[in-house]
Amino acid sequence: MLSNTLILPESDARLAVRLLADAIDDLDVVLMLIFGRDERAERIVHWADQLANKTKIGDTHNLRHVIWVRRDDSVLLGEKLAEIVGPGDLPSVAVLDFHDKLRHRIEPDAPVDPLTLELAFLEGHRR
Amino acid sequence: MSGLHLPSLSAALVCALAAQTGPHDVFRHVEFTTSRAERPERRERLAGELEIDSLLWIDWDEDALLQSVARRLGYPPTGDSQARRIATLQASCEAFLAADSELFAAKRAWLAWQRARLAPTTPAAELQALEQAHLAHQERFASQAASGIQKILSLENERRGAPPLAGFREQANEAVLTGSYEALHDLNSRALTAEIADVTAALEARLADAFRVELTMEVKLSGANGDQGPIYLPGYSRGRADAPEPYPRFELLVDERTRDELRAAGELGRVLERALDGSISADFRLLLDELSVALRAALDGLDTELLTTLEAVIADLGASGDATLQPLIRELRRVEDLVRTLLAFELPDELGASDIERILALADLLSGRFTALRSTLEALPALLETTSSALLDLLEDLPAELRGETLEILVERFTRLRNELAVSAPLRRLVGDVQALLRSLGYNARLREAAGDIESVARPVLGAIDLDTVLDIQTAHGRHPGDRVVLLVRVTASSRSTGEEIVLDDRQRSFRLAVYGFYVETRGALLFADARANLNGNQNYEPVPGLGVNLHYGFANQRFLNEVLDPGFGLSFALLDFDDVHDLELGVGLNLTLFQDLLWVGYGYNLQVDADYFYAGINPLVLGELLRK
Repeated sequence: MLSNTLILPESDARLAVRLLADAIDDLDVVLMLIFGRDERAERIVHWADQLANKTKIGDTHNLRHVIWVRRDDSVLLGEKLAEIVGPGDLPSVAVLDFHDKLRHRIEPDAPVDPLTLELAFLEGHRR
Repeated sequence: MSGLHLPSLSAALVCALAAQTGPHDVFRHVEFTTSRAERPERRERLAGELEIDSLLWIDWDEDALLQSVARRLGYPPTGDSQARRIATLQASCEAFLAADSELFAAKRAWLAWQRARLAPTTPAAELQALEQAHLAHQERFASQAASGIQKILSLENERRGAPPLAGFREQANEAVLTGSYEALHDLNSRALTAEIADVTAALEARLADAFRVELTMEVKLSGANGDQGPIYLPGYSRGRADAPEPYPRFELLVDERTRDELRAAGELGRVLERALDGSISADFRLLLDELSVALRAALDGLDTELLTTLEAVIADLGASGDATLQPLIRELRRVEDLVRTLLAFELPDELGASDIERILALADLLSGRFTALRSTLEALPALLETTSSALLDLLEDLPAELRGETLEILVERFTRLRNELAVSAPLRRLVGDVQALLRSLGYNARLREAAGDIESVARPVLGAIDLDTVLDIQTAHGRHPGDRVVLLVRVTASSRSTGEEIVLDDRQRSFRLAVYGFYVETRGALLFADARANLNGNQNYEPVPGLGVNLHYGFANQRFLNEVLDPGFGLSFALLDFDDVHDLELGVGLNLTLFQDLLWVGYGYNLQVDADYFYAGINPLVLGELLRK
């Protein structure tokens, strides 16, 4: 069960953009965006969700959030994502810091494991 | 005082010799090898001249001796796998300690953060700063722990013949995913402890098999007649001073490799001790203080509210008499008991680095109670849910006029209880934190034991070895200029396990005794006296015994004059037999000698017969010595 992950809706691009914007606007979190719907993406999401547990405080607050973007083919969502991670091909993983700045990218052809993801999260925590 | 190196005492040994001479303060180093010795390895090397009343200092280069002995015994040079293991172990240990320090700093920052969160008035900016400090320490800890574990893993892999970092990624991933950063720490600590134990065992085994090396030195005085008498050499002789016997020195217990390893082990032990008695202990003390305050802050909130609510709810539920509520009542009583116990628990005020065992005992106690509380707190919400239907059934059975009031009371109290339990979330995190700290304490205790083990091996053999000694030439009686002081050195090694003995070196070095300036020598000779007067019988060059008291002069740095020509001038006495009238005929003459009193010539007067005589002669002892050369 994913307890720290927001899965963006695939059928409603407008809702997906709004949820994404809300999540980014939360200044108290480091955000890890994971793109794709294949097995690799799913594995990364589970690892990231597990790693996000480490900063969970009580039942309500967590310094780490994960957003799983399963589809990015809508124009509306594509524009929003380009605004966040920059133009061009999307990475596998992108990490935003507390101030919504992009701090780390993992490209689709780069190997990913829990340690890589933890380091990516830590990049997000860096001031 | 002068000194010199004699590099060829033997190929293996390095011995520095210096002689403090008498009033002339001269030590002349004349080194040559006689070429007619029967066996090359027994060639006597004349190392130099010693003034006849001087002191001979014999200074050993113990390190060089150990190195040469190790080479002769066939030990591998420095840098073999065992030494590398220790070097890696040290590096890993340093990384471990750095990680340890960062972990404690991270924990302390985390506690500060939690305390600030419990205080409702803490500004948001301060909270964020505290959190950042915690994360920064945690990140540095992860980096150091990863570095340490890489090193320690490379040792394990080396033993298995695997690539140095094989398995690191998997272990690190597992640690990161399952047990947060402490798992890395656990892994490193376990491997480190195991490695220290392994190295200790290897050192012990090596010492058990080490060769016992003996060094023997003898000094003899070799006179002109070839006789050799022993001279007492402090530290290497026993028995009477005039009849000394050689006494072997056997402090050379270990070879160079083991010495290096033990030195490294000693350093490692010191590093580990620093972890236990130095700054990290201070961190522990601080941490314990802060932990106590944080616990108090967390529990204070529960003190008045939770206990009151718990008591009220337990009383209400008990009054209902419904058997289905008994499991919930039991759990609530358990929570109540544990909270009371924890509130009554006092962390001692005085705990130092030397109280590790006491801290660990407290840790066990705390850990057990926290674990019980945590499991109960985790089980309670589910229990509340499962018993809610029973509560509703109970309410159904109540009269209508009581139902509303009772329901209101129960809802209010359950709501409060749930809120109180929600407050306990930071407490639950504290529980985990305390347990992690206690584990760390446990590691340090184990590491201290391991360090102690290594040191217990190292201590008996690391004592300073001083093989130096001094020979007082004046203790050699009957010495003459030209005599030789012969120094014999013998190094043997015997295996402790098999008893086999190997002669590593067996050499000798000679010093010629010399006098500088005027000195008197009394020597005997065979004279051939030729009477200058016309006496009865044939008195031409008749052989007679003679005695000469000759004055010589030792020239500084004049080897030919001193050792070859060596002229002497003085008086000679001869027992003559020029006629048959006198029973005693004593001749006194002026004497001239050459070649260390080998050849004599002179002119004298027969006191009884009243006749002059000329003579020439030789000293057969000196001749014999020359022939022996």
